[in-house]
Amino acid sequence: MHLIALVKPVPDLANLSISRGQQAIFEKSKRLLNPADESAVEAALLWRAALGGAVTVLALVSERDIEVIRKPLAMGAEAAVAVVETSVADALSGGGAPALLLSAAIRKIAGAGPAVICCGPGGRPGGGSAQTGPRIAEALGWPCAVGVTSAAVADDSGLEVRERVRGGERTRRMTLPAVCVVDPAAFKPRAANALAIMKAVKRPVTRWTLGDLGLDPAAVEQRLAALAVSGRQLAEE
Amino acid sequence: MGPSTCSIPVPAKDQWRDIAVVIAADSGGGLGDGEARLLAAARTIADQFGCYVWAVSLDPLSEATARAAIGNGADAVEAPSAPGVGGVEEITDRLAAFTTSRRPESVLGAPEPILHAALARLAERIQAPFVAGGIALVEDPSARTLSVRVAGYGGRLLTDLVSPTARPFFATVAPESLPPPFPNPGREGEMVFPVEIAGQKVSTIPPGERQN
Repeated sequence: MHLIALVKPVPDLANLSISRGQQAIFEKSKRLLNPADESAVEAALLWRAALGGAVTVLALVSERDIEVIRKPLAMGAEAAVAVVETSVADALSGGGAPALLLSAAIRKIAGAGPAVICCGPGGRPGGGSAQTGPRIAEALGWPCAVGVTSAAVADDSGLEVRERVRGGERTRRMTLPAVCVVDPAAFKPRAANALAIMKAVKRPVTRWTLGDLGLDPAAVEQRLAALAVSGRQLAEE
Repeated sequence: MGPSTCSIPVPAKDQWRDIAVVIAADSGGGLGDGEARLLAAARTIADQFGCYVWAVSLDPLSEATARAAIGNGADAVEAPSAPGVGGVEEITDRLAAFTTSRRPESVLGAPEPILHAALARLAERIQAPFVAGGIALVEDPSARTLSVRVAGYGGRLLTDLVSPTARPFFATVAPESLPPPFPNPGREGEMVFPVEIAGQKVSTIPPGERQN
């Protein structure tokens, strides 16, 4: 069983400034792990006890942000994979380019075996667009549950999850592999101790690029071109 | 279940026309304020673009609710006759059936988490762009483009996102940031019911199928 937690770096909103012409954004500190993604890691770690297997953390990052992946390692994940593609990591996600790369990476990690993908809900204020998880599910042809608050083993090949639906919640049996967009309120991330943090610094992080994933650069370029910025302005204070 | 990407033949850009608004937040209690605002905003844009506005419901609608949707700007309302759908996959399939049969240029919805996920899934299925969590719609009638304004970096930077070539363009927009609607109870529109024949979903052709 592969439990794969998707994480992404987000800007530290307390330490950035934007130029008067809105052309440059100065981030004065390193990017942080998206708090909602910490909940996805926590869910994967909790479900590991019930499902067995190992937790792999997967991130699409630029070279400068690769260190954020060490925090989930300190929390207890077994392995970390970073897809290092700055052109995609720093681009708009609405065209689906991140999902294209991450679904290829998931195929490479999980192969044809059972897998559960845990991801956070994203959300604009944190820098995400709340769509990578469902896009990955569609790209892989896997079922997707949203707002998952709990999961249990249904039988040898299934997962019983409590998911959000319109107007409430329901319990649903999913065949594996599957994608679970977790409800961050249900999974408070654990704090890593100092020793684990120090050990995580020395642990290896697997780095993949577009070539390692066997993707056609033209296909990625097409996704990136699907969405463009037509104007920018500073918000009124 | 195998990968379903590209299972839908995607027509050329100029074959996508109207604006669709998904009515998802309310099931039986009438048209919500959010949907009314989205329909009114879509109406304003459609009048400049010279296209129609569809209201596509995930639930069966009462006549009063359908009339309210038309009064707020819809030219046609498509609603299922069977009870509403709840999960991400069901909503995705419902909207996929609508999108492939009606070919809307833009599909707008309220930023409800389930609808977010369903639109993202559908966007991936037909490899279309999707902007989640917009705060405003910005139209350019001269170029016939619709941008969605999003607030980034903690709300400090407003960015207008546009899809130059790919269609349809999916977006969720916070309706509270849109102007209040001014419904016109006298507006006329059509009610369309998708029907299922031998396991295959098809839609009835509305009276006087338009040629625009």
